[in-house]
Amino acid sequence: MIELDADLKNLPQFMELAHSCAVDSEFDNSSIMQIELALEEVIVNIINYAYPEKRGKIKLVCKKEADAMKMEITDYGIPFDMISVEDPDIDADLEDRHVGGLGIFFVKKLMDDVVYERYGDENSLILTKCKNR
Amino acid sequence: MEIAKREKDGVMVVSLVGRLDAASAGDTEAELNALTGEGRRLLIDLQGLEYISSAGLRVLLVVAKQIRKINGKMCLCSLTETVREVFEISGFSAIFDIADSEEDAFEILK
Repeated sequence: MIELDADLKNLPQFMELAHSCAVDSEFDNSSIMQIELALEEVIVNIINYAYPEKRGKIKLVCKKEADAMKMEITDYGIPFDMISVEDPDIDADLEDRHVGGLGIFFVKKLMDDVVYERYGDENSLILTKCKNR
Repeated sequence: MEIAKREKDGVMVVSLVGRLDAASAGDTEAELNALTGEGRRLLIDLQGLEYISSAGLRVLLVVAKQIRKINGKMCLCSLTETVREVFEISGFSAIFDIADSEEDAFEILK
């Protein structure tokens, strides 16, 4: 478990924790990359948007389970339910393509389960990656 | 992330080595944008790229749009399997010229 400032300079530490847990959970390389990618997108969104007025923290808990790995990401910023964000148009051509929403799209596509809850003033996002799927 | 540049047959070949993520995106974008001169032909060699996130895709998108604006041409080559997967999932494999090898890329950039 780690809790650090929502600052880009701390991104490597969050990624390292997710990476270790994924390796420990014996995921294959492709899945490990997907896990890292999903986590990066969540962490970066929190860094960019959760604390518009003040500094804040991000807590990350990674859990290895029998057939899966869970990552719980908590922040204490403004309410933000990423699950409700619309998918980007992935069929748009170069001119019309934007990157907005892509990070969230990756999380939903690459993780097997994504749960958002708000408890008091905490945003909690639980990402689950199952093995052998 | 490391960036190596060389010019070959009128094409600027840029090799990205390492991870293109939110932390390295800013500097990478700046360096690539500095290369987009009028009529520029740009090859981005991704053989050494281990990882790319949406921040990295954004950089490539921005550069591609810029290249298009100045009537240049851009191609990517030598994507690893995991990076190719990210391109497929995001739909980015459809909007970039992607070659398997540097040789094939030079054909595209003619």
